[in-house]
Amino acid sequence: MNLRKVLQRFLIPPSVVTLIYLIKYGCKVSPRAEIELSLFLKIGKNTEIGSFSKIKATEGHLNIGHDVSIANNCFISSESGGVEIGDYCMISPNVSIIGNGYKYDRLDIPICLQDKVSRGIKIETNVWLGAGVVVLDGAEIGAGSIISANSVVSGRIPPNVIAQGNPAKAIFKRRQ
Amino acid sequence: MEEKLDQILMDVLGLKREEIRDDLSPDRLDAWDSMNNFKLITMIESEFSIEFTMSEIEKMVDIGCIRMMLSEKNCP
Repeated sequence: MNLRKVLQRFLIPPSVVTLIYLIKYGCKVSPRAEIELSLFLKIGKNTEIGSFSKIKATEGHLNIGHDVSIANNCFISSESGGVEIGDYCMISPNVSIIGNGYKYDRLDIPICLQDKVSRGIKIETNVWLGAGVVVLDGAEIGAGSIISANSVVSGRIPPNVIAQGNPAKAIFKRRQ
Repeated sequence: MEEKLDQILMDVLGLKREEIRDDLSPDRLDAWDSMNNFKLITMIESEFSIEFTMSEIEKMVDIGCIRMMLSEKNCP
């Protein structure tokens, strides 16, 4: 862990982080959330981040749109591939958005010591992720789609559908 | 039409053929939750090559209503 990270994590009180994001982006971060102070992280106006959520953007861009609601206890991390979360998305409690994986092609080296892989995650506008949803690296979710609770998204979900399962698949097309 | 619909109901809701009755509804059948309802509608649309509007879907409160809707759409 480098010195900058240590200083940020242990010496800057969470309420100051909340204030910084409120002034810089006009977003409401709970003082009980753990949001990294990072140049990679951009958050849109009126976005809300609930208690005990953790957002890491150490090695890749993480763009969160405006009017996004991130509930309690969510985990979002971006790596080199980046993570995009569109405007008006609703992210329910206990959602994990994990922007990296590991190579595992060598049997003689522990997986954690093999290279990281990060293809990136794209969540378009107006997406609703149900409680406990897991979004894995490489996933793309089309605008207006709904992912039902506890689903695992690892591929492409088209726009305006309701998707469910592991791996999540579209089961219904939204309509008027 | 009856045969195809019964097969979909058996596949999606796990019903046996003798359990299928027109008055069966989500209130009476635990397996008929909101997600299975979406799957049911999608499979019916795909099998009969039709598309329901949201207001039509809201009217499908039991199996009898689904049959009636399919007859109205002249599904074979």
